[in-house]
Amino acid sequence: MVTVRVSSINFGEKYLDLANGKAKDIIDGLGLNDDAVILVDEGGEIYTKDRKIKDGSYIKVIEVFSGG
Amino acid sequence: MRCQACHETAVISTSNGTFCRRHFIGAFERTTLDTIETYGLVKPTETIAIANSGGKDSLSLLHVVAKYFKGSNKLVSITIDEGISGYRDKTIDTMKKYCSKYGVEYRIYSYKDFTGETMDVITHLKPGVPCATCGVLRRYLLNAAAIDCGADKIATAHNMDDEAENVLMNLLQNDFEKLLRLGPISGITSRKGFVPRVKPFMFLSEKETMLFSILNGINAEHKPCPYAGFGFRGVVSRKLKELESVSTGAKRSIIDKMLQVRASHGSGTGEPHRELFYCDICGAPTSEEVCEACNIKAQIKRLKRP
Repeated sequence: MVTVRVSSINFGEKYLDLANGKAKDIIDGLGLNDDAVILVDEGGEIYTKDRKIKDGSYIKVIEVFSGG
Repeated sequence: MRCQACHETAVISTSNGTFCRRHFIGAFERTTLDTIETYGLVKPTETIAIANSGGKDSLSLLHVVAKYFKGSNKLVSITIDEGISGYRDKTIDTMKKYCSKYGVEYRIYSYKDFTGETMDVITHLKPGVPCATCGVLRRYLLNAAAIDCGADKIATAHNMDDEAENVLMNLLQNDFEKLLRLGPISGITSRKGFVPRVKPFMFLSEKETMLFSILNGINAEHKPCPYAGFGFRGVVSRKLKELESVSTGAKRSIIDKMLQVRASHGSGTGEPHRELFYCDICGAPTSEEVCEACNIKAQIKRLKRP
């Protein structure tokens, strides 16, 4: 089991256990939509949904929205 | 996922392709330039007003337009300050920083100057969804600002999501005439008093635009408008993203179909069939005697009375 710390402007910070150790587990676990988020780690690495994530990683969930 | 161009680790996979960091940036800029060229959005020597909120979409547009058109065209950045505290004031600071970086002149026009009130106050005064009022005022001021700057075109950072949302919203509201006015060049293109709006990002998704801003170190505030969730658009936007995630290419299909329908109706330019007048108060083109922006301004004045 892989455990990661995730954060977003909408829900703050939380820890998640990823059953398959992939970015998709974060998207599904938070009830998000792949087309509406970008996952990025502390080093600026971008994660597509199929990518494996290392245990203990910190992942920022950037939600995609219109305008600005 | 692997990049379709070099097999490096991909950073994105959308209907436009699967790319690594380097090839994504190239593909993004190429799609923008192809859209501009295919639809004749920008002609040499034209003055281009870049609608610039200081958010990630418009700063990405400023980045690409400044990179490729600064040598051939006069560029002016126009910002409409709605007066939303804690939100627009921050993005205006960001906008100024990036205009200085790219050497592009900027001008700011505000709801407060036009109506006498900020959007924060208007939201409390005026019943109904704030986005409807805000949209009318923004379009009006953007056009007036572009005329003031002597611009030939207004470039907006409307992306594929925005455009597909517009198509669906117009269908759901049974407004076929508005639907025909969408497309890469929108608004009324041949009447005095209208500056055509062009959309170089129309075939790029919101996710691609946001990723482009992140990868280029464009340090925009990644925060939505505090009033955005109130509108019908918010609902349509969420549903559209759900559709895209189960059927990649759904948004592009919606846009392609709209362009086909548009081309098969009349001139295909989206010109309205209704007669146009000029507003009795401000002189702007309108379909009524008084334009909607002047009606809102008058309504706000009435609502302020004790």
